[in-house]
Amino acid sequence: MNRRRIFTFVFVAWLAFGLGGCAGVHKQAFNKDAQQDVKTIGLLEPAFAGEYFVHNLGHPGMGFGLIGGLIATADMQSKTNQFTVLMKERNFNVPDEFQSMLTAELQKDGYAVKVLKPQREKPAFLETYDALDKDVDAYLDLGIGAGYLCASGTADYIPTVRSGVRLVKRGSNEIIYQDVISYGYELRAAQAVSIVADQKYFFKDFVALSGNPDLAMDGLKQGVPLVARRIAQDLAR
Amino acid sequence: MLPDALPRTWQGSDMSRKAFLLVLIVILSAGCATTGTSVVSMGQELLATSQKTVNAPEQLSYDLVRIDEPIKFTFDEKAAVMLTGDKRRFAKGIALPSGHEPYSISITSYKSGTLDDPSILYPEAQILDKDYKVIRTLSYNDFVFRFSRTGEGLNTIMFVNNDALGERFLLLSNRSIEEADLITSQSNVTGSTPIVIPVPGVGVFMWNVPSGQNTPPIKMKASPTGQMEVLCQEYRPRKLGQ
Repeated sequence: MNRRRIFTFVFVAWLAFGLGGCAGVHKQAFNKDAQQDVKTIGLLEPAFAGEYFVHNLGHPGMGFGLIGGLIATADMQSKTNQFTVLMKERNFNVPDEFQSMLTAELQKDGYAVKVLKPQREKPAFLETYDALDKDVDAYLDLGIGAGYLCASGTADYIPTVRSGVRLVKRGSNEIIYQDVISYGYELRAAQAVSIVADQKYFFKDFVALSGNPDLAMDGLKQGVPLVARRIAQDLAR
Repeated sequence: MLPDALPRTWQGSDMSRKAFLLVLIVILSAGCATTGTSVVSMGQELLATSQKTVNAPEQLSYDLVRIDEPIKFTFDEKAAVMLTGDKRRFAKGIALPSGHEPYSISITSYKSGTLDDPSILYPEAQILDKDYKVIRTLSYNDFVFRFSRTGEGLNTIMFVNNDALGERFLLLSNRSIEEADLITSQSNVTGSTPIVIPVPGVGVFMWNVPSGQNTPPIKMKASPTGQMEVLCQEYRPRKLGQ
């Protein structure tokens, strides 16, 4: 039983990380009136794990100790690999799409945006922003994850696009905005803002999902502008 | 007559029988959550018939909210109803803290009903000055659907930054909403199903096999009744590393 708990812990932590999610992080709403000096935002290239996940959160293998857990992980990684190939064959690049949409949304709300390319050692928030361009008022650091999740082997695969995001003020290093925005499948632990996906992008199993990759990609593409818009709306208030 | 298979303690006095029936009712009723359709229907009837009416914001009583001390309340049979022309709305007045600016006001309306038939109170929030005049009205788009440690619901966070505008009171009421504007929710439930296999001479083997299900996306019906929470917190953004 202890092994199962350890596995579950490791799995959930890894999942949250892979989603660019920051589960359970402190949330900070943006206070525009108090931050009127933030006019130019340094938008960092989003952290991205490089794959489009396909995870079964109720995988039966997870009920059978460490060995079962390893089997479940291997099965999900295999599906993730197959699905990632299908998405890359279609030139789907979620971090690029997300960045360009977010840039446009922020500009629409009156911000000047400077895209920055930080060196990330891992797909997570930077620990410090001191080495970045000083010609901005705040750094918008974020991760993006996309893929499909299901609650069990008998539940639907549901599209998921998730971004953990924070705005850090240059100089003071204050985190003046931090949240998790989630489209599609909702992992409650992340306490995220939830945007529901259309049911036409739900797939009954992996065969259906991988058998219709264009529709599956559409399901993810629908979420990217919604997540970007929500972040821009938060920063416009 | 109670069945023989019941424990002895359940077969004794009338008191024990009553306790057994009470437990039975609790167990049975636990599986009968009120649907969103029923919540809305009962709420509308309550709103239409309530005699606890006021005609203006200044006639409401205002509970003081303190920093870091959430106020939870429900629009139900005890709530005041505000009359505006021929419209009736449940209303709750909250006196805002003074001397703590800048601070945030988090407003949450919790989802009710069932997974397949959810409902929610769509809140309207207005900030009033000392003369109960409206200074600010939050727009419908300011609310997001979010999960939190205390439940899932519509949430917004606004700020009071200085005393210049004279924000004194928060007035909350139920918003009337068009069908097309109803917010959609979708639920995923994960759990585990115990599988027990008796092995003669050894005992039993038990596994907890993960299980789960999801609902389709469903619009949350607009209920005039529901539970809400207001929390004020001083505005102190954390720094990196804190």
